[in-house]
Amino acid sequence: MDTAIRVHGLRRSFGDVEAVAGVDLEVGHGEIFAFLGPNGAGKTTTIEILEGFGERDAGEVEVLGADPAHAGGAWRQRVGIVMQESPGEQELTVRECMELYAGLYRAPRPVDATLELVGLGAETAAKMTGTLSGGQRRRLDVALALIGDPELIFLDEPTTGFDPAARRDAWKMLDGLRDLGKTIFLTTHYMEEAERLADRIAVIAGGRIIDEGTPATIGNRDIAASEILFTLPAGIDPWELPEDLRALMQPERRDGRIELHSAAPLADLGRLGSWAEGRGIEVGELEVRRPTLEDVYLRLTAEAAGPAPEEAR
Amino acid sequence: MDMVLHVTRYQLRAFLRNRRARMFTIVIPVLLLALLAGVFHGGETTVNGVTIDYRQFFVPSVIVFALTLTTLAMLVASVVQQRELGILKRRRATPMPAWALVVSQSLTVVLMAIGTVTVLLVIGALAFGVHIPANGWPTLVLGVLGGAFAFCGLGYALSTFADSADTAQPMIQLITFPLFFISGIWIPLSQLPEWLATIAKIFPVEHVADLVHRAYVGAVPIGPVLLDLAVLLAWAVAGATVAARRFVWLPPRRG
Repeated sequence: MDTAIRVHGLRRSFGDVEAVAGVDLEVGHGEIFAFLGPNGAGKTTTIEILEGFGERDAGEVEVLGADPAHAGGAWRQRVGIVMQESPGEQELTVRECMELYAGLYRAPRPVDATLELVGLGAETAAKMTGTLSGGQRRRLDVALALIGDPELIFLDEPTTGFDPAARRDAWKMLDGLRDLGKTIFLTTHYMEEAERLADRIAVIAGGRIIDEGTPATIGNRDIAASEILFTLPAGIDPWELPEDLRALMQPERRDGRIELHSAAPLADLGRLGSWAEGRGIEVGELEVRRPTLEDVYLRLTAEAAGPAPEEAR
Repeated sequence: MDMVLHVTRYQLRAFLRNRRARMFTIVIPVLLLALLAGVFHGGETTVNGVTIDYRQFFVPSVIVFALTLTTLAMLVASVVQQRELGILKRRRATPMPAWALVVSQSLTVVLMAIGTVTVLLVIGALAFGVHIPANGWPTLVLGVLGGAFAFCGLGYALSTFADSADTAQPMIQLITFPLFFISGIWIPLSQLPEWLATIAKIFPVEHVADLVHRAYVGAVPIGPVLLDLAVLLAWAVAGATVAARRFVWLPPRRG
């Protein structure tokens, strides 16, 4: 069997609000899967159901071959969970905390090696968990999720509150998990993180999956129009541009640059170039960009939200 | 069961390092014992028809007070706090079964309570000369264990009515302080209006107090002891039933 997580038609309501309104998901073994969505989109509700902590109203859920709602200790041996910020047991040292949790698994990973894997050294291991910095605590969270040597790890916003350097370190650490062959179900608000780590991305909004794909293809990002930005010298009016370029022009920008949306950026740039050469002018501040993952994400979630923002849990 | 002892060991260690826990379980009861038994002596009072010295009244009273604080108040505070901080969820995410988690949590506070009671027994005997007669020991053990059972069950039930340590604290005080006053701990039951004493007998504190006070007097009639134990057991079962229906592992949702 090559599927770690399979979800079909998942539904969950709280009162009148349908937090999850028919979600389908599939995550393969060894895959890093990023689950994105605005706050209140149904992300947490879905994860809690996958982790065996939440009830559902309808749908089929299979995680590591079992229904998490009825899975017991044997299933928990194979699943690690990194929750959103948790301060941990304040009055234990990092090593004691690891030993406490190691004692609950049949075949735990060695404590010191696991701490090393997440980048916590011997000096930190002797500290009380209550005195750790935010970044160190997050590493401990990950180490605690790894101590049972799970096949599948749920990572809920692993780098929220990190500074950029700590985030890079965390990504290196998560790459290390990929090398161990773990399946990782990740949520994050950082598109750069999803792009950097994920094999596949799904975006949830209003309780539904609104798109799914690789970081390069999601939201038709691979075939979406590129933006061409430039300025014209003083005295040259945009309406003097050749007809076929004028057709690509977008509404006026605040910075005064002209913005073209082009499905064939190379050809359009060629046209722009020969026109400018013919006129004996140079265009300024020239820039060609493909939509970033963040652009795509914001467009997808804005479309899903519709005219009025939707409130969900 | 190995898991229960494993978790209990680490929890005890964490508890003993927690200043607030030490304050509640050791410092306050010992101070109270020193004050009450030091100030009130030479007078006499009547409990269950037996006339005893004030010291012989207050030593067991402080034991019951400490037992209640350690099992009921500490259990509720720690369960609510561990839920709030996501520790309950993290524990539940391990292969440890739910019952083992509940038992280890209860065992932790019961062991703390036994430690405190032992300290108070020793201080009561050495500093104030208040001893338990040989035939009172079984009643003391029954009182401590029966109380621990009732308070743990009740504690788990009450922990479901608070979603943060900040709300748990006043809730527990609101419940325990009136009970202390009407349950024959600070004021002998014989000095209370009868209707108040009758109300007190509905709740568990009075029955723990009755057992521990009887232990210090010695000769114990079997009837009242069985009644005390039955009431305590009923509270334990009632608490566990409420807890089983209402208990949640997940922290309350923010935002």
